[in-house]
Formats: sequence, C-alpha cells, structure tokens
Amino acid sequence: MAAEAIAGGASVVTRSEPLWRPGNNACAGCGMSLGLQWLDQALRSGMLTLVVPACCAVVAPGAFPDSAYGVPTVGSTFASAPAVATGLSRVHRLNDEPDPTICWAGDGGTYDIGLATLSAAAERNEDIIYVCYDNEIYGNTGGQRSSATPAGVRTTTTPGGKAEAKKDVMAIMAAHGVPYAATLSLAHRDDFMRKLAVAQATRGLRFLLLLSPCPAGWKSEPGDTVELSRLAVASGMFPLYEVFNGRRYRVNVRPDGTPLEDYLALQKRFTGAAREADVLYAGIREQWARLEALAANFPTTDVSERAEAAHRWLRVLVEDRPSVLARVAGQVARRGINIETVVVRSLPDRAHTYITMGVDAEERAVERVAKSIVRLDAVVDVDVFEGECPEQSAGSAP
Amino acid sequence: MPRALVTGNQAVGAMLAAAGEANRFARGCCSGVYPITPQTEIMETLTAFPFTKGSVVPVESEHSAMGVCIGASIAGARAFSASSSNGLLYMTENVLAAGYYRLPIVLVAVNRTIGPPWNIWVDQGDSLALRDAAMLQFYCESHQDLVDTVLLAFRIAEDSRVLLPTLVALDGFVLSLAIWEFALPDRGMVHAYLPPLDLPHRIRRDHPRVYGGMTWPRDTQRQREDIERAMEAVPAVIREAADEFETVFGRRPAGAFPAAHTDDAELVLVACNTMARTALHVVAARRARGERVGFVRARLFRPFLRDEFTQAIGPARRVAVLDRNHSPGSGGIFWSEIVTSLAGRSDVLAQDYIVGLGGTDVSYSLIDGIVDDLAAREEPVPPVFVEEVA
Repeated sequence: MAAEAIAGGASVVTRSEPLWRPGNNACAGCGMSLGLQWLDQALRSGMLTLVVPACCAVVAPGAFPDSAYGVPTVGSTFASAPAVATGLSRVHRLNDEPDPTICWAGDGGTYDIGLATLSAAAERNEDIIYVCYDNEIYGNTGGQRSSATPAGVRTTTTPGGKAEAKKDVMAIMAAHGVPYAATLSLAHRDDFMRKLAVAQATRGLRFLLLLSPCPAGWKSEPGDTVELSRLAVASGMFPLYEVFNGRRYRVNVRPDGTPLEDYLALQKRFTGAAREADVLYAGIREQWARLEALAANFPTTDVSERAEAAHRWLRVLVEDRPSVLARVAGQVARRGINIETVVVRSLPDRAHTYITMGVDAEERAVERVAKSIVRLDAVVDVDVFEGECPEQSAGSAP
Repeated sequence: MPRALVTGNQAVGAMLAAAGEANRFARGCCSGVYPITPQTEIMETLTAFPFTKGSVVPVESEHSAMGVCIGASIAGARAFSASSSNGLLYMTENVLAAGYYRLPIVLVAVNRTIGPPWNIWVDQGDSLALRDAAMLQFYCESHQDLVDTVLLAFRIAEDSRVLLPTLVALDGFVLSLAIWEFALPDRGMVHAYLPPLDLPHRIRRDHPRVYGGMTWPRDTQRQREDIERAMEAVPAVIREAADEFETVFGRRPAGAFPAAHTDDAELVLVACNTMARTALHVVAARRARGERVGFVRARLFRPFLRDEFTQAIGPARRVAVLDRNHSPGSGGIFWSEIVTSLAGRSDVLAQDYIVGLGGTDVSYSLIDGIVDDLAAREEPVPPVFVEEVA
C-alpha cells in the first residue's frame, strides 16, 4: 500500500490510505472523529505511528480483524500512552525513521490517569506530538466527571452539577517548558492546520489540546459539533492560543462578544444554576485576564513577523579594536535575542566606533544585555532606545 | 572464559547490557528503568552502559518503565527492565499487557517482600503475584545460574514459537548484593548465542497494523488459547536453547527442576532460589548419615512442567515444599502447583511449609527440622508456618 524511498539515509514512507477510514464506529457528530480526519489532512501523505490509550479512540475504529486506522496504531493501557510512545519514538530514532509518533488521548487519559506519565515525557522532552481530544467527560464509560469537566456540568457522577472548575492543563504543560503547546478548535480549520504544521516542524514534546464536542455526553445535536466549537471560542470559553517554550504566549482568536448563553443553549449538560450564576462568566474573565497578561509580558510575534518589528535599539560606543563587534554581538546572542539590523560607524577620531543594533525583545531583556555589554573592557557606553532608529550623528568622542 | 567477581545485580546488569548490545546490528535495544531497593543497582548499570545502538530511559514509575519497553519492543528493539516488590505490582498492568501483545521482554525481579508494612528483605511474594501473567518465570540460585538464565531468557522469549515476556527472579540482598565468582560470557559469545531480534509482528510502516485494539469474545478466547499453546512449546524450545548454550559456552545450563539424590529418596525437599542451596547442604549431610533424602530445585515456575516435576522427585513418598511466599486462604504457591502436579498420586504426602517471609533467615537448622517434621507425619496438615528457633 505504500511506496518507500530512501532520503538522506532515512527511509521515508508515504501512505495512500487515510489515517482514519470511513465506516468507523464513532457516534454521529463525534468531535474526536472529525479531529482524526483533520489530523490525517494536516499530515497529508506522511507516515506516522499512532498511540491511543484505552478510550473511545480504541473503540471507535472497530474490532479485530477490522480497523478504521490506516496507520500503525498501538492501543496502550490507559495511563501509558506517553510511555509507550517514548519507546516507539526512541527506537524509531535509533533506526533513522523520521515519521512522527503521535499520542491521541482523551481528557481522562491526559488530565487524570495519564498526567504523571505525560508530565514525565514532557520533562524528558520526548520527541512526541501529543494531542488531547478533550470532550470534558469520561465519554467512553457513559459520561462521568473528569478534571476537564467545567464547573456546573451535570455528569453521571455530578448529578447536581460539578462544583470544581476545569483543570488548566495548558498551564501545566507550559510550566514544563515544552517547545510547543497550542489549543485547537474544530471551527478554526486554518488555525488547526497551521498549528499542526508548527508542531511537525518542531522537535521535542508538542502538546495540542482539541476541544472535542461529544453529542452523547453534552446532550447536543450531532449537527451542532462545529457550531459548538465556534461558540466555545467566540464566547471566550475555550481560548485559542499557543505557547512557545512555555514562555512566549500568543493569543490566536479573541472573544468577539458572542454571549456565553449562545454556547450554553445548544447543549443540555450545564445546570440551570450554572447558567444563571456568575461562576462561568467569572471563570472566563479570570482566564482571559491571565492569558492577556501572559501574552503582554512576552511579545507574541513569532519568527516570521520578527523581521519587521525591530523596535528597540542598542547603541554601543566602543574603542576601535579588533573583535569588539563579535564580543558585543556575542552578549546579545547569549541571551537568545536575534539581531535584526546592525550598523557600525567609526567616529572621526578613528579611535572609537558606534555599533547600533536593532533587536526585537522585551525591555527588561534588552536592559540586561546592555548591562552585560557595558562590562566588556573595550566598551565605553551603552544606550537603549525605543521606537525610531536613534540619530547617529557623530558627536564628539569622549 | 573469564571469571568475574561482582554482585548479583551487577552480573544481571552486565548480561542485560550484553544482550541489548548484541542486537546493535538489528533494531537496537531500549529499556525503561525506575529505581527500587534492592534492584536499583541493575538500572544504574544499564544507564551507565555505553550502548552502540540503545536507549535507556529513566522514567517516573515502574508502570511507565514497562510502558517504554512495550513501545520499544513493538518497534522491534530488544527490551528489558528490572524491578522489585511494590514496583513489580505497580508495573503489573503493563506486564500483563506485554504478554498479551506477545512481546519478548525480559524482566528481572529482585525478590523483595511486598509492603505495607514496609520491609526491604526477600520473599517471593512479589514475582509470584505476577503468576497469572502471560509470562515465563525462572528462579535463580547463584550468579552463574543468573547470567545463564538471563541469556536463555532472551533466547527462549524471542523464539517465534514462544514470543512471551520472561521473568528472571533472584533473592534480594541474599543474592543481589552478594559478591560471587562466576564464568562471565564475553560479548562475542553473547552475540553468537543471541541472534538479531526479528520480531515477526513488529511495527512496519509499510504494513499498518493495530496492536491492542478491540476484540470480540471469541477472538479473545482464541488469543488466550494461542498463549497456552506457546507455553506448551516452551519445553522443546528450552531444550534447543540449552543445547545451543552448551555448544557456545561449553557448559549446560540448569533445567526446570535440578535434582540430587532423588533416585532412591524416600523424602524430597523442594525449594527455589538461594534457599535451595541451603536445602542441598541439609540433604548432603543426611545422605552422609545414610538417610534416603533427596532434593529438587524449582527453577522454572511458568510454565509449570507437571510431568517433569513428578519425574524429578523420583520414587519419594514424602515431599516437603518450602514456600517463601504466601497466598492467603490457599497457602504456598509452589505447593499448590505441586499438589496439582501430584493429582492422582495418593501415595505421595506433599506438605507445605511457609518459611522466610519478610526475609526471615531460612537456616540450615530450620530446614533440617522440616525434614524431621515431615518424616514423622502420616497425614498432610494445613500449611505450617515455620520459624527459626532463637
């Protein structure tokens, strides 16, 4: 079924089968099922190994000898997906097989029983793409609370509505400093595809959180799965954002003023009390205040945008000696700051030079660089400017 | 062959590493490891070993240690790990899974009592709690027995007629920390003995398969039956593996039930692990006094070869089973296997003696007393808990 070619010492296998075939047993309107189709499209023809813990993703493909999966798939024990994926990924690497190992796990396997295993794989920064399809419930066992269930949701184990708020698993993953973490929505296809592309271009543990409406558990119409996904984002209930290296936050889609009621109206899992009380609104406000603060503290421009945004300038006056430029630039590089532009201009006295560097970095980082540069023995002075490029008139050398 | 003088744990670690390294021209090796007393020295040996094509992953739990081995083995690598006591219990779900996936993972159990109450000393309750896993189980008495059995374990587990995980047990501290001399198989010999692993059902990207998907009841029962058939193939595979071992290493490894003085014995002592060596001394002393006492060591517990056991005890009419384990409500676990093996043999009195739980010393005099006790009995009694007299 597949063609095999040798590229750069590593064998590349392409697949002709879809990752997730039609005729599977997923319920009508299953968010997970749509998510698997999108995953297939995001990865195009590339081969991959899938690891799914014991959950709907093991039941929905059907029973032996049939399976809806068109890629090698390991159904692991419930808590073990990241550990099993670790073994697969390590051995694939030992054998120069570059295809990604992808965990596809529900919120039970991610937020609850598998959290320690996931945390350890994240801490080791295993080369795994981990996708959590979050239906905010133990759907496979008929709808019990998980720690991903939002407050106010009626489940078989919280018949009066869940008292506790949804666990913030993104914050937990960001705290591990994983190279990439992002949320995904089934109503934002371009955003989904772009994030999968970023994930594929990144190495190490990549964590993706997909809100996955579950008509059976949410008491919603199968035809409303995409609309529910859209309303969750538009109302601010499920923010779309990404986190690079656990530090740089970028918000992708902000709430557009859509009332939360519109989201709640399409499902029957929230109690009346939850709809009326302020708890859900307060949670959304708190979540957004935190997210915006994180996004504000750490500029959200990514690599592709950085070139046009050199908005801070370091002007360094140095003695005109060999290798001074390299040493000054080295101080900037050591802090991981990219130099966008650099201008070097000798002063009329032929003994001093101005080095002016444009950088895209937050103020405190630039201040720290300035302090380290001024300690270099050939450096006379350092100035930091914001906005426009500083006027570089010669002035008089000290 | 060079001689080595190291701890039991170091001997095991060296053999696991040698077996892993021997697969470097195939798909390499991989091990998930997690520390627990008294096994820790093994995982430290593995993490320090400079594998040419191998990966040792220090994970966050025994459950994940076996999870890593499962992923690695499905990917076609030689996989192994080690644990003890509650660590083996924490790993249990994935040990059973490894058997049902039919993966030839070698797991070393350094026997330690299960807590609470916490106790770091030896008994075999931990590995025997894995009794019903789809897994072979060997019990070792010495460093030589250990290194030979680890190599045999890979050879047998990876045989296409078997393809089951294999456990190799040794006594915590008593053997794991003991320094003892043994013939150390060198790397070339290990490589000659262990062919490159070519797992028939490993993941192939050009042939997608699902491992551990759903099965309907009938297919599930058939899968279990396949495992029983694989267990039935074990004796023949062991014989071939032992023949080949003798060709490569110049000595024959022990069998399922090594025996001594059983040809004309009236009473036979049965024991496993280091207790067996003490029992053998008792038997030798009694033989020197002209008593017809024999000895059988239970080395292979799974599969339990009932016919080989009944042959091993010879004509004896009294069998004293020393169980350093306890299945509450049943008695000793080796004993229950043995009485099943002796079904229909009303002429044989098999008496269970529970000894050495929690690492209590199983001394020469204690075993000597058991011989006297059984010699005086006419009827079996419920399991007798024997304590050393201070």
